[in-house]
Amino acid sequence: MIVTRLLVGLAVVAMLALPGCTSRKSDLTLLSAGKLAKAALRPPKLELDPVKLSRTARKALASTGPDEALATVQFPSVKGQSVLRVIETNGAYGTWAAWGSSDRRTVTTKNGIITATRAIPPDLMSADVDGVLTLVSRREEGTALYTQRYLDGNHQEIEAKTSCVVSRGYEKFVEYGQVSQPALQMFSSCVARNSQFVDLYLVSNSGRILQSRQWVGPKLGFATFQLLR
Amino acid sequence: MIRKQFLFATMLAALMMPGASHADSLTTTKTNNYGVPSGLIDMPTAEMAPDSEFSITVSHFPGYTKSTATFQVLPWLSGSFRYSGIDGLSPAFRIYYDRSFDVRIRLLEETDYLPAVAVGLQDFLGTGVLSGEYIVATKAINNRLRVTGGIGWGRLGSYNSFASWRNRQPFTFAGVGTGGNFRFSDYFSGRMAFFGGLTYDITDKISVSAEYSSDAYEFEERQTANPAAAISFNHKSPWNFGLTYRAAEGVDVRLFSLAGSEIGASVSLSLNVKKPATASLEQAPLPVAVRDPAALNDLGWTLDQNTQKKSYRDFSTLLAQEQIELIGLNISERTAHALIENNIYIADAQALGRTFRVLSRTMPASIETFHITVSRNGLPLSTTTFRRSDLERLENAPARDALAAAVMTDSLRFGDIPAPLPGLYPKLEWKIAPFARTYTFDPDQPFRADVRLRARADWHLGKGWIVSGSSSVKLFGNLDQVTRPSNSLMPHVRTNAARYNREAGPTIDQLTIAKYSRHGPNVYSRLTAGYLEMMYAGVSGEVLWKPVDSRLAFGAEVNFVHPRDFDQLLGLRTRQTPGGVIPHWNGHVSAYYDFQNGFDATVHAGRYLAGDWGATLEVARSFSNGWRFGAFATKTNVSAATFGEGSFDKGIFFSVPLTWLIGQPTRQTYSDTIRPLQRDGGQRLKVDGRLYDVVNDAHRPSVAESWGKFWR
Repeated sequence: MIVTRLLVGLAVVAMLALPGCTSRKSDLTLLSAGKLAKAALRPPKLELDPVKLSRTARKALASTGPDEALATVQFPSVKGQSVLRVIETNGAYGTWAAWGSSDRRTVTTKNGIITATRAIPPDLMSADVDGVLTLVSRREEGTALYTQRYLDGNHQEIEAKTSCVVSRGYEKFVEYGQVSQPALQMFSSCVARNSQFVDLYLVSNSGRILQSRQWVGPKLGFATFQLLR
Repeated sequence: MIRKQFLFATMLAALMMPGASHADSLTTTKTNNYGVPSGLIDMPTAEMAPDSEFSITVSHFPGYTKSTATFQVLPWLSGSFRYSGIDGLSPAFRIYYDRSFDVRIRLLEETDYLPAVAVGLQDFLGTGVLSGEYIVATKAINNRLRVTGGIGWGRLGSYNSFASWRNRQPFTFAGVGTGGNFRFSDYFSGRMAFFGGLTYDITDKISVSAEYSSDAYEFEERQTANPAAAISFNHKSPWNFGLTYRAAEGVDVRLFSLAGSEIGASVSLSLNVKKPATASLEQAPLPVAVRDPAALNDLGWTLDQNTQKKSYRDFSTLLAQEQIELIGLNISERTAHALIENNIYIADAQALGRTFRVLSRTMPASIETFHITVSRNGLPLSTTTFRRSDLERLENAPARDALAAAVMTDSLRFGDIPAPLPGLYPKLEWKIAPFARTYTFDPDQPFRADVRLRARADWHLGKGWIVSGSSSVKLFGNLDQVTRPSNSLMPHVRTNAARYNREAGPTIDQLTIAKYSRHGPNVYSRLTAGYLEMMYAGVSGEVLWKPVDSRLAFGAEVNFVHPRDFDQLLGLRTRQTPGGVIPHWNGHVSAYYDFQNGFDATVHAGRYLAGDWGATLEVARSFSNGWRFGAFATKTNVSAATFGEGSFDKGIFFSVPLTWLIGQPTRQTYSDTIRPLQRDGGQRLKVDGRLYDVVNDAHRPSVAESWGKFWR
């Protein structure tokens, strides 16, 4: 079944966009369509790796008030897990930095979706996430555009525009730190010019993104962001 | 079920993808024996290196060494400078050293069915021992195999030539003369021959190549027959073979067989100036603090000295954390104006972005307008205005939105610049650091260098007044072995470099007092007096006209100089030299233009150190991250014969920002100029703090080019 659907899909892609043989890396060459198919056949992990709460996380939970937002984040390029607290808000955006240290690295989120990083190079400078955010938090399926802007080595903002298909997954029970509630898996499958990625969100009944695995750039890969309360 | 859905979603998303097609043309990071982008061995291809790739290639086979630096100036244009040494080619030298320049242009990009086509000039300037021209086509058959075929002239038309047209002067040592000139009548003339080859990537790291070479190595074979010359070269076959191994990112090693008789090797090191060697280690900026709407009209703080003092104190503390220097600050009911100096970030846009955010975190909520004046050497250069509500609104938007909201004005036109903080002056800055001094292309030894330790101090006495001194001492090196006496027929204004270089020191490299001033909008001036540079003392005055949003600037400089003693202490020496008297007066008018596509051009016209009159053209590609590559040529009213070897002054210059290498923020940059030959014609005074360099970074065109750093 999967193979049939894949072949049909590939045929459509081929008819729409593909020159037969080329050395150019245009949007969708046979090669990238092949990669796409490979990625689709072996989709990235659909679960978050269970992570034991670090000592810092337990300490942070114990020593802060119940209203203070706390989360953990993990970047593949940064060793270990960081415990974050919000140091500033701007409308729906919150800027997070390490709890209990003066480490000058920050992550900015908009209602749970990462829109910016600083001092985690190459930095994500800003992102337009509203379409995906609306679908994910309403736990609805649909399509949306998703744009991330990175800073290159020559001080230019490089805009990566992707289109995403948001789909629903299984119900999961999230138990992490002081979070203990049912959630629904939401997948956002996005395709950019030369890459594709699948973001995973675990969304509570009230539409809060409790946990996520999000693409933050071709160099950095995926960040895992989990609320502690 | 989820997987199926997921698969379908991926396919759907793929179909939705906006289809902006993007051509990624035929590029390679490999270089051939001549150090130009090519997957082949001795022959060129139509491949180009990726844009802004810089490579250094050293290739060697017995008796023959070539070192080449190549820069991909544009996606379709590369330029190379080469220094070759050939054992015993000429009876006059043990090793015949030769400098040469190449240029390559891609005429046609590769398409699905047609190859890329390029044209190239090899060793097109100067004596021409390696000279050849070519038209070449390369087609990638698949991801691994590339096929090349072309027609060559000169050296590249010497084996099995199929035709000949027009006349070409063959290379002889007799014809070398003063060299250094274009040989327009020879290009694409004389015999022509076919060449071609294949490159196949076995893996991502290993590739093989085979070529049919049209270079018969005629001159080498002829000199091999000449009993007076010590060279030995035997051309047995037109077939060359190579095996290339990518040892690491940016490191290619190749073994090759050449002409059926030689085995050789080459190493190529490459970097791309747009990709920093070390990822940025800059700390995160502070986020914008959004005001409570209820507090916007609270002016109570204006009556409360303590709140004012606190705002002021917090601002200077946070700004110091950002390593930005506070010169002055004015706060009123609705406006705050900070005067800063950015001595840390390459991009003034980044210093502006950080200072604005610090203002947003520290100023009372009623203040709606922020102004920041950037100054350097005591000169207020530009004033940028931002509405605080725009800052709050645009923090998470694309950087271009913030650029559109920023207003930049000439500080003098803006007026009302904050006064320097009490106690700021006098201010002493100093540093001690090692540096290298080089002496290149001496026929006795092509590269010599000294490593010296330098102490430098800048004493800012008051607004625009700076006393600067630097002194250095030799740690180790071999510059004292340069014995070549000057044979110049002109006043020896630079050819005594060897005499100056010999001094171990301690030497006084600079001891000056300078005054930088502004006399009106768009106008800047500098007056510097003292020991201006290694070789000259005197007075230098300069005026610059540059509107804050202009890409064009004009300048004028007049210098009164006297040559310094070779020991580089306080004494002066006679202006009389074997080639004539060094005149007191020199100076230039200059025009600067920033094309805003990364290129800029400068023309200096006037009187040079030796009293010769003429003009210099400089063309450079400048990157926002601080890298700069350029070339210059100076033609003055001295004949090629009087000028001497090289015919006229020319060379290349470059700047490497230290932050690109180490990741830490710093404005320190290593710059150097490389001339194939140092003569006395067309030489300008070297004076510290020329105005265009001081002013330009803070003006709108430069700030806008680096605006990506505003929110960083």
